[in-house]
Amino acid sequence: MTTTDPNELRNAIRGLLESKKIRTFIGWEQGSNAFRSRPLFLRSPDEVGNEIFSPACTPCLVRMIIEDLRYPLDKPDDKRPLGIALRGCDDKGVIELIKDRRIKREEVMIVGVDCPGTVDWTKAKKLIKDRKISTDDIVNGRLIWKDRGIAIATPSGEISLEREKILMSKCLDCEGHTPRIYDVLIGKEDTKRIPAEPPKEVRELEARSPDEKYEFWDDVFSRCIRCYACRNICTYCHCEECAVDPTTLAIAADSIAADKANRPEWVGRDSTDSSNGFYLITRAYHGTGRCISCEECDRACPMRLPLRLLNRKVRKDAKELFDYDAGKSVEDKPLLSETCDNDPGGFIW
Amino acid sequence: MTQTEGHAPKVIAFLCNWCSYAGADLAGTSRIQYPPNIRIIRVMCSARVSPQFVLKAFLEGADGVLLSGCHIGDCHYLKGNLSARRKFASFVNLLQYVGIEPQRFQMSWVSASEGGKFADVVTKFVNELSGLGPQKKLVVGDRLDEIISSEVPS
Repeated sequence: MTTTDPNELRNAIRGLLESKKIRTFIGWEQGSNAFRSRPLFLRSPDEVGNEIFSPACTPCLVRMIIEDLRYPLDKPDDKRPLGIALRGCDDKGVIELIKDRRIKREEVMIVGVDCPGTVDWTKAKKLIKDRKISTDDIVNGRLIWKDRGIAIATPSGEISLEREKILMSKCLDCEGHTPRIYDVLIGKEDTKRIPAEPPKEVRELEARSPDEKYEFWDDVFSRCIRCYACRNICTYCHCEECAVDPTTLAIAADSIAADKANRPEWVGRDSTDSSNGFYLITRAYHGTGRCISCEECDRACPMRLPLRLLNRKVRKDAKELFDYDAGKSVEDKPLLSETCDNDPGGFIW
Repeated sequence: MTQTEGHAPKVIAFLCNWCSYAGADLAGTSRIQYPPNIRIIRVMCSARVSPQFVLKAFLEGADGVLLSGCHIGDCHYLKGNLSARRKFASFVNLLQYVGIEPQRFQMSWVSASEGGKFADVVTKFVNELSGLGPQKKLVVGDRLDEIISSEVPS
């Protein structure tokens, strides 16, 4: 059960927009069916009404802050903060953006919500098939949190769904339902913080031999189509210039074609296993001490690559080697910008 | 020359200008023998080397990559080697996680007076690599040759 009342949330958003305290509010709206939702941008109090808060609210909205700052659809000189609905896991993304000095704390108005877990569409598809849920219920039903599980509310009644079979894997390892930083909290604060267990699937993969590991990752690399969807949805991949994508490197207005062609190229645009590997390894490495394991890359990937395994690995390493948690506090220094005499160095001759 | 039979590994070595490069120079002027398999790239500091350099070397066909800098506390830029150590501590784990043998990337601290240590490091590294054979996991092109040759009708 959530303690966030949808009406209270709606009134809070309307209040913020009416008082002109924020320029835009970023929330969720219902997607194509009961299990899906998409980010919603509210710019005036009249638009309030479509926003939802339900188990279907899977997207992590943090990246939308960057998108909105990059391409403001409001007046670009509007300096009012951006309102955003945040859950207990997304707040880490905002903390990381503040630590990266990409945004300032006062640039976002955080409306905290109490989220007991959201659905994974890939798992949901399987469950729909197994439970023979009718198309009508999927399209017209609405998801609700019920006791400790999730149910679809339809005109004909409620169908309850098993928690383990439908929640995102990150939700099954949830560290806390409400954000640590917020301006307004709708619902009751979740005071018990459960430290996340080291992911089992990563441990299992680590235990394999180099050739077995390579066999696994080569299969992943070979299926990557380099669409950069994982980068474009990522909360830490917010560089304006991307190391692996020379088309984003800054060029002057009067750059000639030859200059553009000679931009430094770490890796070609060919989608060979090696180049894809370079891209995915580099991207994962850049998440050291910055990845918050929101698993949006996993969700965004059109090839369904298990990218969370790479990102969870760097997160686990940051924890084990440096006792560093990304998104713990805005007071922390970025991991790789600091050094310490006692850093691990056993691998050096 | 301690050239092992069969495979002669190609090694890219990033050496810091102030210590390891001078150490390698000392090994040369002292006439200490070490395998000729390394191609040295001089960098101003071990911290100049980004993990992308290492990946790029593997993509371009290196069998092993060596990164060497000043001992902790001796850095010409005070904290460069500390920074390199922190960067690569997690990167070596990630490399092993994707299936690259741990022997293929090595870091070492070699001071300007340690010509002997430099020769030892290179000898040990090259010997380990010779046992592994060529690096085919990340190199661009090798696989392509295989695919092309397998599809040509005989």
